[in-house]
Amino acid sequence: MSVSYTGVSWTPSKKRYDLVIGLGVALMLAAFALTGALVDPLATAETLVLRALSWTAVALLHVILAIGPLARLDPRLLPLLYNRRHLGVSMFVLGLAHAAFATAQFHALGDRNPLVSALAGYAAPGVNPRWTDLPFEPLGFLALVILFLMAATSHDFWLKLLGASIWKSLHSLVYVAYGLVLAHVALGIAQSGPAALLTRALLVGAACLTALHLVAYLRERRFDRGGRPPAAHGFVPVARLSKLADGQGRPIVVGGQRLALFRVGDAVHCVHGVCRHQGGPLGEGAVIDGCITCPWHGWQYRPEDGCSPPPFQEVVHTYPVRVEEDIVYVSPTPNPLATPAAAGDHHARETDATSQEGA
Amino acid sequence: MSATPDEFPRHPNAVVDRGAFYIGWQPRMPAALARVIRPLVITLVVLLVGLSAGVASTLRSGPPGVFEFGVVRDLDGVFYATPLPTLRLRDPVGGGAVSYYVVGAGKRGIPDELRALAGQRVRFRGTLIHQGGATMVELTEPASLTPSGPPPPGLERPAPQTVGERELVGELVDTKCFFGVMRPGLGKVHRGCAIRCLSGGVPPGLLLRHRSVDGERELGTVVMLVGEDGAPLELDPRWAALTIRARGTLESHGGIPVLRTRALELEPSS
Ligand code: HEM
Ligand code: FES
Repeated sequence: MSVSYTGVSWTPSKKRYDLVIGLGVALMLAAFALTGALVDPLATAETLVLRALSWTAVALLHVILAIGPLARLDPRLLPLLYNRRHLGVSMFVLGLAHAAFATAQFHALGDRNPLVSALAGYAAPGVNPRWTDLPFEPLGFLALVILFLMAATSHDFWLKLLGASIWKSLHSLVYVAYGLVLAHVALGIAQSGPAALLTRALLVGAACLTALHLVAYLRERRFDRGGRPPAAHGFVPVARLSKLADGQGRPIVVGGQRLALFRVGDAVHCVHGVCRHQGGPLGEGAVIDGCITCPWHGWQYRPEDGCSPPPFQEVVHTYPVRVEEDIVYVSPTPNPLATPAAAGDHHARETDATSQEGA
Repeated sequence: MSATPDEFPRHPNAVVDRGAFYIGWQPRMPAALARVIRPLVITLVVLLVGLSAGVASTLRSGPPGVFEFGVVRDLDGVFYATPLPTLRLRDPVGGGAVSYYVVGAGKRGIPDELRALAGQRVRFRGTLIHQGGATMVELTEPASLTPSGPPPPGLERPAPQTVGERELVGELVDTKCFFGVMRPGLGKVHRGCAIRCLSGGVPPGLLLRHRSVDGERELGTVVMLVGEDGAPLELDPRWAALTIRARGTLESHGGIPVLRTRALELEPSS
């Protein structure tokens, strides 16, 4: 969260995660290469390595893209999301190795620079009579450029430097990269007869990813549309105090915005529901060490003023809360940023929005 | 307490009993969560490893050519430059003489130093490539090329036999890769490489596909393409891996089909 570059902080969970990535990747590469060598004894080592690398990369890409919606559909899977960037970097390294092998094998030792040959070798008018004849290597190259930019900016240092929205847009390009990889395969090996299982696996993969994203999206949308209209005093009723568990967040929708409600002891606090890190749902978080903690990567905010505890500098808006007759109401208008906000206290029938409760 | 419903809508995730709230920077994953994550991750890894083996088992690398990569032999014979660079040498196994096509190392045809020795006896170190009845030799070590004087008797080339005028349709391949250097050595995936090889001077070939007599397998025969006058054929290397129609005089060079090509065009579709 800090502005300076701090390197990756290793936790036992990250170490275990990386161990599983390393082991899984090694097993996949070995299974692919050994099976390939057994069923096709004439296959050269270069081809087996080239294909094992690309297959493993594209399989990991599917896992990476599935984790997001899966963790939305079942938050018990969030530990898979926590360190997803290491999966991304591993996938990039595999893709890069594949691209390097492919460029060397198919384009080196000729009469032209191998990279130029791979990217422009057969792009000329008239030499590709059908669209399926169009070159497939440049599509893989474009995908690799995107994956490189993502891997290179995956550290939070870059997130701070670029700002959350640019960073997030950049990382949404993973879907473009995925499309480019599918096109790379469709214009390449899918056109050679014996690649049927690979092609089918990728089609099934694309269908599953689309379905997962769609289901997760529709579920969120239904909730987002379920907000209540405001009461006479302009505040919106959002929950029953008696049903709020101490220290556990509650996502709510107020005036079309996703907010997060927290009961801490006798006080009720409301903050904006979108984490400053990567947009995690704060309402699905919990209070740890007195701080609202995002369920995705654990960034923290004080319930009273929405500020991250020092030395961190993130801040989310807080919202005025009042409690009447066991009903919690939240104002759609946020408090000024980084000001200690009023918390709804159920001893008070009405809390003045400017009082310094819990500061 | 929070699980019992009231009149307010709950986000579905707020209702899930997660076992515990856990963030990766905390030292230990709660047991209830580990009971979900561990079997899931193990299943996923097993599934992916199995799928890797499955996908690998269906991919094939190409027709059964052989490149004796790493085996460099001493060759001694008479070099002929046209219509295809050929080394005529004593048959290493039986009596008599055999012909090997000659190509350069990498994605190259023969170097000028060799071309200049047409009709002479030469020695060099090279690597064999063979498929079916055709053998090719790569001049792996250009520095080993030694002119060795006039051709000894018995290494003349047999005269080619004319088969007749033919119009052939097939895939344009570079013969070095097709005979066994690359896997795959034909088709779309290999196109970029074939373009480099053709552009670098490797002799082009036309791959004619046909069914085996029992109809079970697809077979391929490669017809070597040369210019009508016997010089190397001029063509756009970017036509590699595409379907080509070629017209000319078909000859048999010791059993290997060679087309003296009069006309060559790209098939618009198929
Ligand atoms: C400069 C960039 C790239 C080049 C030149 C390149 C080249 C190639 C070539 C020549 C093949 C066919 C290999 C064969 O079947 O023998 C291939 C296949 C494939 N590539 Fe790429 N590629 C690049 C980038 C990528 C990236 C970034 C990915 C995914 C992360 C990728 C995924 C695949 C897959 C899944 C296949 C099909 C399986 C295979 O045949 O290996 N490629 N690529
Ligand atoms: S999104 Fe990463 S911690 Fe909130």
